[in-house]
Amino acid sequence: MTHDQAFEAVRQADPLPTDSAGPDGFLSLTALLDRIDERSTNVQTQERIDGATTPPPPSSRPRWLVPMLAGAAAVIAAIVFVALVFTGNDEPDVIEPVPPPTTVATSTTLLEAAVLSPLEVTGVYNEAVAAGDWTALRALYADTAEFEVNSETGETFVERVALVDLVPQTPYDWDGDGLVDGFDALIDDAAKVAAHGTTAFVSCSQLDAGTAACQEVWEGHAFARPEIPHNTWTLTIVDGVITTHVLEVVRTDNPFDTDLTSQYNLWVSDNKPELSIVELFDDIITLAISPDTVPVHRELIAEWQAEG
Amino acid sequence: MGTAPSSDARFRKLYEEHYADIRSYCLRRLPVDAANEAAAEVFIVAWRKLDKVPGGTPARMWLFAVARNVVGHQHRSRSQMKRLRSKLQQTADRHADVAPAESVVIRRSQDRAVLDALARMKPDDRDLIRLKMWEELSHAEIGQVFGISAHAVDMRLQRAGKKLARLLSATKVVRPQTIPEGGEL
Repeated sequence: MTHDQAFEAVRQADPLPTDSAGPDGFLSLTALLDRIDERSTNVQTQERIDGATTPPPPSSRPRWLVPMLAGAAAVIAAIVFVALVFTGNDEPDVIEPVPPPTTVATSTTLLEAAVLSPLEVTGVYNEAVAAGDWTALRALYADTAEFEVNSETGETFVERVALVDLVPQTPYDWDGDGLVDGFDALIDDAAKVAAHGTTAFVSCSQLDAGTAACQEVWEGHAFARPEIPHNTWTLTIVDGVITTHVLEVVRTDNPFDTDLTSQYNLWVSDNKPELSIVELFDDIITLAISPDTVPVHRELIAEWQAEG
Repeated sequence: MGTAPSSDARFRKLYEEHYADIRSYCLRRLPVDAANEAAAEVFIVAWRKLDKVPGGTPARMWLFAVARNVVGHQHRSRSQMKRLRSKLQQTADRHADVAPAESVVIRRSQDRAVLDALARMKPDDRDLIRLKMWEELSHAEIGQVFGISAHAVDMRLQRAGKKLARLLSATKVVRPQTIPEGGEL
């Protein structure tokens, strides 16, 4: 099938109800104006309070956000590090990296737990990453959660806006909510290390009842350069969900060993001709990351490593 | 020198020229009730922001862009409800951006397969294809909705089309160029 035929199939599968032009729900201009009248008081009040809640026209977003958010997304996506910021003498409880589960936990089982402590939340975080359960990962965050990135340049941003109009290709809309936002950037980062074979993403210690300090560990990562330190996180957890996620990023060279990634690419080319290299790799040293490719890479990398 | 149309007249023109298209856009992506609400919401936004709605043809793209955001918010709300009910299943999520069964007329099982394949694509790629084939927007117009260039739309549609063709081939959806009227479906 060619892509023109595929497009034609889409045209023919148009799900628009056949009676869509009928009266069912079709508002006359008068009815629409009545609706506007009904809402005008609330709308005007809300607009004064919070104009940002209105879906803006495409051109209304401040242009300075583009480089800032795109840069931050790139930093998050590229990254990596472990600074030992939160280690102290009084060593609170430390949760060790969770080994890969023998069975894949479902979203439901991960979410059915009652209110979790900060350590339990980060434990579930590792389980979700190892299982590739992005829905469970997203559900660990409050819908109003704030995501703050502090880079080595001193730039800080708190990301609560949709990136979709600015950098529509990056990152992926992992939670499928139609918005590419900070949550997706977080999940994208986790998905990347998961694709690379990581079995434990972070190791956390509990600072107090509502705060966990973590460092990325990337245990089992196939391509991480050992000398590269990892990012640190500070999580604020209220009622079992993460309400703020502060990420401290230290800039460094590419954290991945590109000799290894290119060897892996060539191994896939030589040994898995039935697989599409274009789908699995962005280029010879970069794995393509998507819900479809993450489990494939994990399986292939294990096989590649087993062959030495 | 002509007199600028009043706000009422401008809004009336927007409604007459674009309401049906915007409602159709929403109906393709949401259940009927939610779609009707979303279409109304788009025009409420337009009324509130009338001074920012561009004149002429770009007004249509502006409305589509707002509709895209409104539909996105609807999906987000629905996702949140699902989470609250702990009924999260990946399969359900993967189909969350496809108009649900009660709102669609699926004439052929092949259509279901096509919609399933679309649901497996990246949301942006899915929307690009749908805007092209269902709303019949030009690449330049799609670019205005997405805030990207027509050239970028060309390239992304090319990639998305290949991906979709692969997905459909994998599910053995083979569709003739035309379906004879009255033929077996």
